[in-house]
Amino acid sequence: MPHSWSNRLWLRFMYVLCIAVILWLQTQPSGVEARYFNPDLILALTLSWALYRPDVLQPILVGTALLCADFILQKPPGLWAALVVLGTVFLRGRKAEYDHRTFIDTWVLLSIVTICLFVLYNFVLRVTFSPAPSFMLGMAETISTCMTFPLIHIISAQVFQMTPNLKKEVHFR
Amino acid sequence: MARNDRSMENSFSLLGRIILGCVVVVLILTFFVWRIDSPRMERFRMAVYDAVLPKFSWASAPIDGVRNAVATFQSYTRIYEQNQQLRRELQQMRAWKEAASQLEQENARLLDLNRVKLDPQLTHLTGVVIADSGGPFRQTVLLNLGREDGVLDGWAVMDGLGLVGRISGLGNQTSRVILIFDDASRIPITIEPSGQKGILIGNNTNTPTIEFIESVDNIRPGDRVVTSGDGGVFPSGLLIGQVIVEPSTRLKLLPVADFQNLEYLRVVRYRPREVIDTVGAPIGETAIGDQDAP
Repeated sequence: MPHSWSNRLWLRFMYVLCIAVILWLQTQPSGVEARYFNPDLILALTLSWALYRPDVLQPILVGTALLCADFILQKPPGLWAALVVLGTVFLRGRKAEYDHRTFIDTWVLLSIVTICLFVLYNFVLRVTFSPAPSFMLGMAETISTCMTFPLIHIISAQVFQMTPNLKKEVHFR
Repeated sequence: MARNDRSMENSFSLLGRIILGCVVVVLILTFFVWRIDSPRMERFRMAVYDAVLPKFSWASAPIDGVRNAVATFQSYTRIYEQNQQLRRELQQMRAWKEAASQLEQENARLLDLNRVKLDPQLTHLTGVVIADSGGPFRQTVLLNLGREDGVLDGWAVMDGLGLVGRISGLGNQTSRVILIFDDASRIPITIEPSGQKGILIGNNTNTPTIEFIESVDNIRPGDRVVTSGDGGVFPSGLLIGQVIVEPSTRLKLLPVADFQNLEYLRVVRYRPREVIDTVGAPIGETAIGDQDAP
């Protein structure tokens, strides 16, 4: 089913808005402590939407949004954004195949991409002798990001009426 | 046909591929520019903060409201408990007050004896925290003081009780404070009363480690840790916290500053003292030299 031009523009606007809100919430002053449930919601949202609606997330949109996030969150600018853009391109190629599978399959695919991105990111940082964040915290972040995919799936389906082709029955057993 | 449509929609045209290539190349170039010329990129990042964040401070009002409401509600549920606790603390305080007044007299006498000169150069600016680092990897906060307020890089930042961190990164109206917890934080310290010197090393947890101590045996849990002023960046004698000893005999620091709610922070104005960097010349040499010269 081809989607209308205005629907696509609306979803792009919502994507930018979601990222702005997430960034704003994350930079609110709060108690300083090392948190172990710290999902990277921006990553989860980007990867999920790249799989559900690749026509919405153009590389230039993802690249710009993630570069801004890199600047604000004090990451080395550009590297994470480039990796995520490549991840979305990979997922875009898998859409046709995953349209007719259950949510669990999708979840596994998204988690594998998340973990690969994390490993690549750490690898490049260490190869270029950049200051790399602690591995344990990064691992905790990756795992908690994987945990949030169902939530993103539900919100995308219910609020934004995405994923019309995914099978409706979701087996949580 | 339907499958064909979809594959058209999901794969790129030639133009799309070129754009994708450009985006990835630009991003990776950005990364390498940052890797090669980090200070310039960080200055740019600071300029972005400076431009964006102060304009959004109004937006944090609802969040503060919600947080205060939750805190108030929580405190209502524990009101009896708190009452008991306050009574106990009040009793302890009475005892402390006695001790303090005695100490005050003693201190006055000793000061008189010693003619101690308290450092008149240490004055401070007070600022408000407007944002934190937004992630668990960096332990920094953003203050609403900047170059226009006369803040300089490297100045110490305290809350009412103890050292919080130091200024690292300046905008015109904002400055970034790198907390003593951050992985990159290194602070020269003295441990009282034994007077041992060491370095306080941030490790992304609530208890930074103390390293490079000469003899660990002279140190007990509960000893006070203050800045030593070595290296000339910090004034000496700012309180940081107490020593705690882990079962593995590693020394750590329990900070006194209240990191759970950093709101108002003090930036300590400091200009390093003059350093004597010449060795004394032998007396009389210049006179002899003068005789030889003509």
